[in-house]
Amino acid sequence: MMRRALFWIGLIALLIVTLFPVYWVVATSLKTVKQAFAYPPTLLFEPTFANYARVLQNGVFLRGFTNSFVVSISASVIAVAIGACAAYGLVQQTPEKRRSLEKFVLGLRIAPALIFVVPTYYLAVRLGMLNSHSLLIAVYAFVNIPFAISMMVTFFEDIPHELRDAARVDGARELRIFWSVILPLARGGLVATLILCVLFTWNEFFIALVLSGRDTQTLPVTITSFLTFQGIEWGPLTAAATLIMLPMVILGLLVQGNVVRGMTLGSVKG
Amino acid sequence: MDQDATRYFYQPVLMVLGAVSVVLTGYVAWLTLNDLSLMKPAAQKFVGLDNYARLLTDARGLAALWRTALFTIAVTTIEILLGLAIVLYLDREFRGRRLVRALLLIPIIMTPVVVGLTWRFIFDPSTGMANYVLSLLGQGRPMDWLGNPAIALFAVMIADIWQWTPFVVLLTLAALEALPSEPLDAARVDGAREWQVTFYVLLPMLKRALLIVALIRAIDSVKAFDLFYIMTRGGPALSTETLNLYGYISAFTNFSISYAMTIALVLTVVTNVALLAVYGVMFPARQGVRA
Amino acid sequence: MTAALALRNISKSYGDVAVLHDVSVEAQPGDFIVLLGPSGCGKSTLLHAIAGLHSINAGEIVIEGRNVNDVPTRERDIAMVFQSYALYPNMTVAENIGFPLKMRGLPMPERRRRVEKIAQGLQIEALLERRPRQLSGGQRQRVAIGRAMVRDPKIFLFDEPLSNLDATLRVEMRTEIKTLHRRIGKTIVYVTHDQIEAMTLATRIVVMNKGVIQQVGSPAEVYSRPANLFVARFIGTPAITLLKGVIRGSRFIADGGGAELPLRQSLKDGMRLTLGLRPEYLHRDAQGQTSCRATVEIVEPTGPEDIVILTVSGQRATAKWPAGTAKAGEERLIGVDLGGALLFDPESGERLA
Repeated sequence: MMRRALFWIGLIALLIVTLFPVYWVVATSLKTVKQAFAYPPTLLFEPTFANYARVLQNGVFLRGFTNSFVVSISASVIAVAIGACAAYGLVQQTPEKRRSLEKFVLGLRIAPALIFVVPTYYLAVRLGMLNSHSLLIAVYAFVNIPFAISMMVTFFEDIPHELRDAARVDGARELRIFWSVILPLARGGLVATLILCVLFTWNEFFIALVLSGRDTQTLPVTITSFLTFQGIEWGPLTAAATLIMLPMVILGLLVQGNVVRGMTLGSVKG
Repeated sequence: MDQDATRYFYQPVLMVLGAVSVVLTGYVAWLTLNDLSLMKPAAQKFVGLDNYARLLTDARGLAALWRTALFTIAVTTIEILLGLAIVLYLDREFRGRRLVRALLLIPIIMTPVVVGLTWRFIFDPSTGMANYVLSLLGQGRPMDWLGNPAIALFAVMIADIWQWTPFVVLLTLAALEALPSEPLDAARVDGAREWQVTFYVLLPMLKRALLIVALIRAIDSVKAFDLFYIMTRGGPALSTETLNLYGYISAFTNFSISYAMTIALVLTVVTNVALLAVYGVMFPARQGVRA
Repeated sequence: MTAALALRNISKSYGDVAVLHDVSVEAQPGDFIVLLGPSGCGKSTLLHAIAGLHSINAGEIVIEGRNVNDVPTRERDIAMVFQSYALYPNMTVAENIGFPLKMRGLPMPERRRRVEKIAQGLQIEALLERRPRQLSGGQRQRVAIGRAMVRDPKIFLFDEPLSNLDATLRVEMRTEIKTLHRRIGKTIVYVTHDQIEAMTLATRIVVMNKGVIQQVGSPAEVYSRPANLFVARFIGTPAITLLKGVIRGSRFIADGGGAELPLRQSLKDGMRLTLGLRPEYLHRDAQGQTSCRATVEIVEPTGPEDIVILTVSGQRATAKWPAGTAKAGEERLIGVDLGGALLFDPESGERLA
């Protein structure tokens, strides 16, 4: 009995350490200025939504939200579409060929984002494309494709080889097999990969920092503008932070098992 | 003959990816051999290997390299050890196991920028939770976590460990569950106590998975940027400036693209070499007949 | 003589599902007990319970007079060979075999000596420095057996060790296990779903179905005097012929009216009966015996003999005759030796005579 109790105590401690910072951010966003800066810190309080009101009325923040939304979804859809095709092709190849091709795809991951973002920035400046959604979408799609390929490969592997053979015997052409037979079966994988791409893109900071202009800033960049020199306004800041991470936490919990799988196969953070 | 049709599914994509990579790498290499500045894009001089030479003698750059190595090794080691300990702790039947796994996901899913802000908030010298907890534990003087050059790097490490240890836990847990249970039972029958079963049989079987996780974390740690930018911007007094950050600053604060690219290229090459070395040591070519 | 192993009224459930129901078996020293049954009958669970790897809800497990219900696995003085052999993947063959000794605290030189001796007995000395992944199935099995033998335990447990081998190797290893048993003379408890294995290896067979023991007996007993329909069907290749019918006077009338057979035993008129006949009691011609008409459906050659599948009175029957005796589609008069007939109650499945 004693051992059991000790186990639960340890478990609760672990969960507290894991979740406390998150709780603290959310809690602070619901506090008044006085409560937020109280020392010792207040744990029980009356929640107020004043901070959220301020943030949601802030045009810059709203624009950032829209930008994040548009860029994440567009880039992810493109990446998954292209990635799924490529992954399907890869899965049909012989194991040796696959191994070397997959290593190549994985290898694209090692370089820090710096190495391709700077030339892109340089080019974008010359072409005057710096303040455009298309630039961001294109870059994010490009960065997400290797990841989408790696993930979709694992999902396509789960589909029995015989299905494709049966379809071929029935006279179907390759594209038809892909579209009508395999894709419906991989639907779950497609959704999971899509959500993960959105997750990565939404959270991504460095590329957005360099390549987004005033009108195309995504949320991670927008929030840094709340860090002014006069001191940090923790109230609105934590409210903004909560609003940024909330959609992703919900999405992430939806695809639970696949998050870990995805992060193994390729971080898109560059 | 149909085999050929599937080629068209992947070949164009990979060729484009490959081509872009090659062009990009070539362009970057060319950039490093010239002296370009964002201030005056039109004027450029060919300077050969000057940038590389400069990097070799750049005290700031070398210090950044050292810090990157320190950060990467420390953070990866701690995350693996801590993660493994937690996994072994959680390796049993208990109600709410699924819930715990879902909750452990949250630090990983959080936007790194937000994580940085959160910890910056916690580390605030006057109102942050960190100092409050310390005061409860008896340590009187509040620590200036992010303002003291001696501790700032460790503060950033703590944030990184907080966010990514759950990743090690979840991945290792998945690997653990995929392990065959019969060798463990066999050990019990052979007279081993539980800790011996873990030490002699379980951990060796986990070795491969742990190494892969370590590799992934190491690669990501080298490239870490968000936390550093948000929490300290490389300060105070450059005490948290990693090579990646230095490269960014060279490009966008000092406007010397070429030097920035040199740093980035060196970083990539060094990481690749280190990785290959580690990989080669950990997974040596096998001898003997495969059954 | 104290039983080497006594299982008394063992019951186990997972939630509402009863996996073992009031199971009792006794094994004398040197017995080769085979737990036989289809998948899910509880035989593996029972074996794991004896080892202490699974808990039980009720009953006692007694090893050489000592109740081991609360004794942890490592102190039960048993050894186990797993279905997948469960060799330690990161250790060499020598380290695998020596592991139990290491756990017991024996010093290295002594361990080495014993490992080599066992390896010689199993003819695997050449493999001592190899790793499990470099070995073939049969070799891995020998290593698993070696690891079990090195501790000289009271009881050996085998969990379907031959399932993962291909057919020829299986027959070879079966003989090896039988020889091993004769050599070491220890008590063995062996789990399998293959009734041929059970018949060839066991001194006593425990037939199980759905967590309940159907019969305990020697191979001859379960073959010629099966306790119920389940045992009769499960044991014996080719399968036993079971004819459904009714008693009229002193005769058995098969459903379909195509066969009338006189019975020695006297039974109630009008009673329903299932008549069991092993293949060897159906003769290819009816010289001087009870006979009945049969149609040959399928002939399956197996070399010197054919397995002949017949229809008797609209019901299926199986016989084993010398090769070439029958042709598919022909009608013949077959001889029925009722001396070996087994009579079953169709409702309960119990054997009546």
